[in-house]
Amino acid sequence: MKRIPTVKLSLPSHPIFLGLIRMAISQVAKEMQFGKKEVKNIVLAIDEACANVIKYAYQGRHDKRIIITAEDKDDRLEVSIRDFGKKAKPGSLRHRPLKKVRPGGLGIFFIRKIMDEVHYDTSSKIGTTLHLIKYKK
Amino acid sequence: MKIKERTEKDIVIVEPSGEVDFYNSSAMRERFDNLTKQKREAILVNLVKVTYIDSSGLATLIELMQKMNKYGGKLKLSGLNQTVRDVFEVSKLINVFSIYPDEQEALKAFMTP
Repeated sequence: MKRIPTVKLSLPSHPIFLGLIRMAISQVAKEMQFGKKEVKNIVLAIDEACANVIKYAYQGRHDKRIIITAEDKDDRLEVSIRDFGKKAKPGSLRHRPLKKVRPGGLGIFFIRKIMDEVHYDTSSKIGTTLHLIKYKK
Repeated sequence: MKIKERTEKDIVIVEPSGEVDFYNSSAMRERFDNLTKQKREAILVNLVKVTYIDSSGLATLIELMQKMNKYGGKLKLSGLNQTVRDVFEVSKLINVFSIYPDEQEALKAFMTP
Protein backbone atom coordinates (compact mmCIF):
# COMPACT_ATOMS: atom_id res chain seq x y z
CA MET A 1 0.00 0.00 0.00
CA LYS A 2 1.22 3.49 -0.85
CA ARG A 3 2.36 5.60 2.05
CA ILE A 4 0.35 8.70 2.84
CA PRO A 5 2.52 11.80 2.43
CA THR A 6 3.56 13.38 5.72
CA VAL A 7 1.17 16.03 6.93
CA LYS A 8 2.58 19.04 8.74
CA LEU A 9 0.42 21.72 10.30
CA SER A 10 1.83 24.88 11.81
CA LEU A 11 -0.94 26.71 13.64
CA PRO A 12 -1.45 29.42 16.21
CA SER A 13 -2.12 28.11 19.72
CA HIS A 14 -5.76 29.15 19.48
CA PRO A 15 -8.35 26.49 20.38
CA ILE A 16 -10.39 27.53 17.35
CA PHE A 17 -7.93 25.46 15.28
CA LEU A 18 -8.53 22.23 17.21
CA GLY A 19 -11.30 21.33 14.76
CA LEU A 20 -8.87 21.69 11.87
CA ILE A 21 -6.33 19.45 13.63
CA ARG A 22 -9.03 16.83 14.22
CA MET A 23 -10.02 16.90 10.56
CA ALA A 24 -6.44 16.47 9.36
CA ILE A 25 -5.61 13.64 11.78
CA SER A 26 -8.89 11.89 11.01
CA GLN A 27 -8.11 11.99 7.29
CA VAL A 28 -4.58 10.61 7.74
CA ALA A 29 -5.75 7.81 10.06
CA LYS A 30 -8.61 6.88 7.69
CA GLU A 31 -6.27 6.79 4.70
CA MET A 32 -3.92 4.55 6.68
CA GLN A 33 -6.83 2.11 7.07
CA PHE A 34 -7.22 2.34 10.82
CA GLY A 35 -10.63 1.08 11.95
CA LYS A 36 -13.49 3.51 12.42
CA LYS A 37 -13.31 3.39 16.22
CA GLU A 38 -9.52 3.66 16.20
CA VAL A 39 -9.71 6.74 13.97
CA LYS A 40 -12.06 8.41 16.45
CA ASN A 41 -9.83 7.47 19.38
CA ILE A 42 -6.67 8.73 17.69
CA VAL A 43 -8.41 12.01 16.88
CA LEU A 44 -9.44 12.35 20.54
CA ALA A 45 -5.90 11.67 21.79
CA ILE A 46 -4.29 14.22 19.45
CA ASP A 47 -6.99 16.78 20.22
CA GLU A 48 -6.37 16.36 23.96
CA ALA A 49 -2.61 16.64 23.48
CA CYS A 50 -2.97 19.89 21.51
CA ALA A 51 -5.45 21.31 24.05
CA ASN A 52 -2.90 20.52 26.76
CA VAL A 53 -0.24 22.46 24.87
CA ILE A 54 -2.54 25.50 24.84
CA LYS A 55 -3.52 25.07 28.49
CA TYR A 56 -0.20 24.18 30.06
CA ALA A 57 2.75 24.89 27.75
CA TYR A 58 1.31 28.22 26.61
CA GLN A 59 -0.83 28.80 29.73
CA GLY A 60 -3.82 29.85 27.69
CA ARG A 61 -2.00 32.17 25.29
CA HIS A 62 -3.40 32.02 21.78
CA ASP A 63 -0.61 33.76 19.89
CA LYS A 64 2.03 31.03 20.10
CA ARG A 65 2.76 28.23 17.66
CA ILE A 66 1.99 24.52 17.58
CA ILE A 67 3.50 22.31 14.91
CA ILE A 68 1.79 18.97 14.34
CA THR A 69 3.40 16.36 12.14
CA ALA A 70 1.60 13.14 11.19
CA GLU A 71 3.64 10.44 9.47
CA ASP A 72 2.58 7.18 7.92
CA LYS A 73 5.24 4.64 8.90
CA ASP A 74 3.43 1.67 7.28
CA ASP A 75 2.82 -0.28 10.49
CA ARG A 76 2.12 2.77 12.61
CA LEU A 77 1.04 6.38 12.69
CA GLU A 78 3.55 8.71 14.29
CA VAL A 79 2.37 12.11 15.41
CA SER A 80 4.63 14.72 16.91
CA ILE A 81 3.39 17.88 18.58
CA ARG A 82 6.00 20.60 18.97
CA ASP A 83 5.51 23.59 21.19
CA PHE A 84 7.78 26.44 22.21
CA GLY A 85 6.31 27.10 25.63
CA LYS A 86 6.82 25.97 29.19
CA LYS A 87 8.56 22.61 29.18
CA ALA A 88 6.50 19.60 30.13
CA LYS A 89 7.55 17.71 33.25
CA PRO A 90 6.78 14.18 32.10
CA GLY A 91 6.99 12.73 35.62
CA SER A 92 4.25 15.01 36.85
CA LEU A 93 1.87 14.32 33.95
CA ARG A 94 -0.48 11.88 35.57
CA HIS A 95 -4.20 11.49 35.07
CA ARG A 96 -6.57 11.43 37.98
CA PRO A 97 -7.76 8.07 39.30
CA LEU A 98 -10.97 7.32 37.38
CA LYS A 99 -12.79 6.42 40.60
CA LYS A 100 -12.30 10.00 41.82
CA VAL A 101 -14.95 11.76 39.79
CA ARG A 102 -13.93 15.36 39.34
CA PRO A 103 -13.48 17.71 36.41
CA GLY A 104 -10.02 17.71 34.85
CA GLY A 105 -7.25 15.17 34.47
CA LEU A 106 -8.96 13.13 31.77
CA GLY A 107 -6.99 14.50 28.80
CA ILE A 108 -3.77 12.75 29.85
CA PHE A 109 -5.78 9.61 30.57
CA PHE A 110 -7.18 9.54 27.02
CA ILE A 111 -3.75 10.15 25.48
CA ARG A 112 -2.12 7.32 27.42
CA LYS A 113 -5.05 4.93 27.06
CA ILE A 114 -5.41 5.38 23.30
CA MET A 115 -1.86 5.75 22.01
CA ASP A 116 0.61 2.86 22.13
CA GLU A 117 3.63 5.03 22.81
CA VAL A 118 3.80 8.44 24.45
CA HIS A 119 7.12 10.17 24.79
CA TYR A 120 7.91 13.72 25.88
CA ASP A 121 11.13 15.09 24.41
CA THR A 122 12.32 18.09 26.38
CA SER A 123 15.85 18.10 24.97
CA SER A 124 15.31 21.22 22.84
CA LYS A 125 16.38 24.51 24.32
CA ILE A 126 12.81 25.78 24.17
CA GLY A 127 9.61 23.84 24.54
CA THR A 128 8.63 20.21 24.20
CA THR A 129 7.99 17.72 21.43
CA LEU A 130 5.41 15.13 22.29
CA HIS A 131 5.78 11.95 20.23
CA LEU A 132 2.68 9.77 19.93
CA ILE A 133 2.57 6.43 18.17
CA LYS A 134 -0.35 4.22 17.24
CA TYR A 135 0.34 0.81 15.70
CA LYS A 136 -1.95 -0.88 13.23
CA LYS A 137 -3.47 -4.09 14.55
CA MET B 1 -21.52 24.29 18.70
CA LYS B 2 -24.99 25.69 19.29
CA ILE B 3 -27.02 25.35 22.47
CA LYS B 4 -30.81 25.29 22.60
CA GLU B 5 -32.71 25.48 25.85
CA ARG B 6 -36.35 25.02 26.70
CA THR B 7 -38.43 24.08 29.73
CA GLU B 8 -41.06 21.36 29.94
CA LYS B 9 -42.97 20.88 33.19
CA ASP B 10 -40.20 22.52 35.23
CA ILE B 11 -37.53 20.38 33.60
CA VAL B 12 -34.87 22.42 31.81
CA ILE B 13 -33.84 20.69 28.61
CA VAL B 14 -30.46 21.78 27.28
CA GLU B 15 -29.61 20.59 23.80
CA PRO B 16 -26.09 21.32 22.57
CA SER B 17 -25.28 20.41 18.99
CA GLY B 18 -22.08 19.85 17.05
CA GLU B 19 -18.64 19.30 18.53
CA VAL B 20 -18.01 20.03 22.21
CA ASP B 21 -14.32 20.69 22.72
CA PHE B 22 -11.83 22.86 24.58
CA TYR B 23 -12.72 25.79 22.34
CA ASN B 24 -16.43 25.90 22.99
CA SER B 25 -17.07 23.98 26.22
CA SER B 26 -16.85 27.28 28.12
CA ALA B 27 -20.08 28.39 26.41
CA MET B 28 -21.77 25.27 27.75
CA ARG B 29 -20.31 25.92 31.21
CA GLU B 30 -21.71 29.46 31.20
CA ARG B 31 -25.15 28.13 30.32
CA PHE B 32 -24.99 25.52 33.08
CA ASP B 33 -23.67 28.05 35.62
CA ASN B 34 -26.66 30.23 34.88
CA LEU B 35 -28.99 27.31 35.64
CA THR B 36 -27.22 26.20 38.82
CA LYS B 37 -27.22 29.78 40.13
CA GLN B 38 -31.00 29.62 39.83
CA LYS B 39 -30.83 26.23 41.61
CA ARG B 40 -32.87 24.56 38.86
CA GLU B 41 -33.90 21.21 40.31
CA ALA B 42 -34.25 19.17 37.12
CA ILE B 43 -31.93 19.48 34.15
CA LEU B 44 -31.82 17.20 31.14
CA VAL B 45 -28.87 17.53 28.82
CA ASN B 46 -29.87 15.96 25.53
CA LEU B 47 -26.69 15.08 23.65
CA VAL B 48 -28.43 13.64 20.59
CA LYS B 49 -26.97 16.28 18.30
CA VAL B 50 -23.46 16.19 19.79
CA THR B 51 -21.07 14.58 17.32
CA TYR B 52 -17.89 14.82 19.41
CA ILE B 53 -16.95 15.43 23.02
CA ASP B 54 -13.53 15.78 24.61
CA SER B 55 -12.34 15.90 28.22
CA SER B 56 -13.31 19.59 28.49
CA GLY B 57 -16.90 18.71 27.60
CA LEU B 58 -16.90 15.86 30.10
CA ALA B 59 -15.44 18.14 32.78
CA THR B 60 -18.26 20.62 32.16
CA LEU B 61 -20.87 17.91 32.70
CA ILE B 62 -19.10 16.66 35.86
CA GLU B 63 -19.06 20.22 37.23
CA LEU B 64 -22.77 20.57 36.51
CA MET B 65 -23.54 17.29 38.27
CA GLN B 66 -21.47 18.20 41.31
CA LYS B 67 -23.03 21.66 41.63
CA MET B 68 -26.54 20.19 41.32
CA ASN B 69 -25.73 17.49 43.89
CA LYS B 70 -24.91 20.22 46.40
CA TYR B 71 -28.47 21.58 46.34
CA GLY B 72 -30.21 18.26 45.68
CA GLY B 73 -30.93 18.83 41.98
CA LYS B 74 -31.32 16.00 39.49
CA LEU B 75 -29.34 15.80 36.26
CA LYS B 76 -30.02 13.37 33.45
CA LEU B 77 -28.35 12.88 30.08
CA SER B 78 -29.90 11.45 26.95
CA GLY B 79 -29.28 10.62 23.32
CA LEU B 80 -25.59 9.72 23.36
CA ASN B 81 -24.46 8.49 19.94
CA GLN B 82 -21.86 5.73 19.79
CA THR B 83 -18.89 8.12 19.51
CA VAL B 84 -19.94 10.09 22.57
CA ARG B 85 -20.92 6.93 24.46
CA ASP B 86 -17.46 5.46 23.81
CA VAL B 87 -15.83 8.49 25.44
CA PHE B 88 -18.09 8.10 28.50
CA GLU B 89 -17.32 4.38 28.65
CA VAL B 90 -13.55 4.69 28.34
CA SER B 91 -13.49 7.33 31.08
CA LYS B 92 -15.76 5.17 33.27
CA LEU B 93 -18.32 7.97 33.47
CA ILE B 94 -21.07 5.89 31.90
CA ASN B 95 -22.30 4.75 35.32
CA VAL B 96 -21.65 8.05 37.07
CA PHE B 97 -24.38 9.89 35.18
CA SER B 98 -28.05 8.93 34.78
CA ILE B 99 -28.13 8.26 31.04
CA TYR B 100 -31.24 7.50 28.96
CA PRO B 101 -31.55 6.44 25.33
CA ASP B 102 -33.65 9.45 24.35
CA GLU B 103 -35.31 12.59 25.63
CA GLN B 104 -38.72 10.97 26.17
CA GLU B 105 -37.27 8.21 28.35
CA ALA B 106 -35.34 10.74 30.40
CA LEU B 107 -38.41 12.96 30.85
CA LYS B 108 -40.43 9.92 31.94
CA ALA B 109 -37.74 9.09 34.51
CA PHE B 110 -37.99 12.61 35.95
CA MET B 111 -41.73 12.10 36.46
CA THR B 112 -41.29 8.74 38.18
CA PRO B 113 -40.93 9.19 41.93
